[in-house]
Amino acid sequence: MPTPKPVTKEGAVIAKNRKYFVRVGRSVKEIPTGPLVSAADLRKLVGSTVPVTIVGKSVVSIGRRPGILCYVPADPWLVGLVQPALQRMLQQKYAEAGILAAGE
Amino acid sequence: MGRPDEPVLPFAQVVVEVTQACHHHCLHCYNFWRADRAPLTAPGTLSRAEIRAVVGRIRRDTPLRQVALSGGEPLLRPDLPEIAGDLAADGLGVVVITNGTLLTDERLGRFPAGTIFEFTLFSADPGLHDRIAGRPGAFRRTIRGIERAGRRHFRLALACVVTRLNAHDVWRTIELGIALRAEEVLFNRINLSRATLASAGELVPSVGQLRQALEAAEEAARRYGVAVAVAVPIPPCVLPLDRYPHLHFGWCPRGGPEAYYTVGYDGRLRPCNHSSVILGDLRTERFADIVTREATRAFWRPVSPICRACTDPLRDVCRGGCPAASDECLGSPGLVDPFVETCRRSEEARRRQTADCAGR
Repeated sequence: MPTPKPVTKEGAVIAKNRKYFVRVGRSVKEIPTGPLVSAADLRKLVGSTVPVTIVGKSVVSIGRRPGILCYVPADPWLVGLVQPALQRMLQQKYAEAGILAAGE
Repeated sequence: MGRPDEPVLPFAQVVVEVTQACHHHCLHCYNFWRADRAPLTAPGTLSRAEIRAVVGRIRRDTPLRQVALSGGEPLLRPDLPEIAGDLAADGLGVVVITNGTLLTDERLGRFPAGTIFEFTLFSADPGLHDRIAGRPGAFRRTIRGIERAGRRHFRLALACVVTRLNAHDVWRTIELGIALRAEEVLFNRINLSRATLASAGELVPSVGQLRQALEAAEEAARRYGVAVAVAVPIPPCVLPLDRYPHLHFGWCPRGGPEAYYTVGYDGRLRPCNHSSVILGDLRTERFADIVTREATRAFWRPVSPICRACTDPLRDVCRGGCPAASDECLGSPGLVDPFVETCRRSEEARRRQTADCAGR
């Protein structure tokens, strides 16, 4: 399968019911908030137009393409969210391997 | 903020190395002091109050948002949670760059909420991690420390330094990082220094190994949704980067708005954590005066003629990779990052070895 290329488009950040979304054309995607994407920072972007980097069907970053620094966590606009079910699966896998404490 | 009559410098982050001391002996360690570390109680070490004051002074000249507390191993300082607390109370984000082994419940309980712990994990194989960290038992202690931090809902980022020794295990390392609740992965290819140059052949992955490691990181980002930043620059002349659309490639800010000037344990300022060049002393000089002087600007300016002639679309962000590595290893920031050549040589050696094996 050919590798999808990242595409940067213009999008708008919107807020609804304490959740944040980015609208690109007619498509609306939720921006997951979490440790590295803070709701407070997103609130400041509501209503503004931002560059949105898309790979296939995934939004991988909003705002400027992150300038990443050696050994310092990347710009908070780097969007990444691990689904809890996948995380639990990996926790179980590495607990069974004796690496993580059981029940993690 | 700066005085009204003066421009405010753009820098939003700074690294503070609170100590040079470290109880690990990582094979890839780039710290220029690794052979001659100042001890934890070395004369001239900034006190908790002095760190707050120095950061406050930087803040007067910049819109500073984030401070990375690094070392050495910063958690060797008993007052690290309070240092982090001071900075958080001043409205700054705090990142602690640590091997994680000293994260006890007692210490974690004293850190301000919102602290990000960036922990180093080199492999999901305990023996390999310990070998790279240079300390038996390091893996188990790192895992337990990070588990404790995760249970307390601290923000976590995994930093994996990728070398020839662990390039094959990137997939499992990222998986383990996700299981430990890391929300972001930093894929840091080894960055050479004067101390590691002699063993570059054993440490720098070949182009093929690097490609495999990036493919593993790309697949982990795609499958698990974790954000992966390739933080230490990989010049596109080593391998094409457009095959990894889920990875975010970083470049040296070269003194631009995203620069992260680094404060040493004694208050002296350097261009970044990798460089040994002393730009000035923040105990006696103003941050703005140091970073705007010609000697500082001159550090960032040179670009290798080879790189100036490069035709890759990434030329203007790459500009030769890590200038600090070039300066440390080759004597000038205006030469091509030594990683480029060693990575290629490593690939040639691997090919010769493969051909020899096939010929037998």
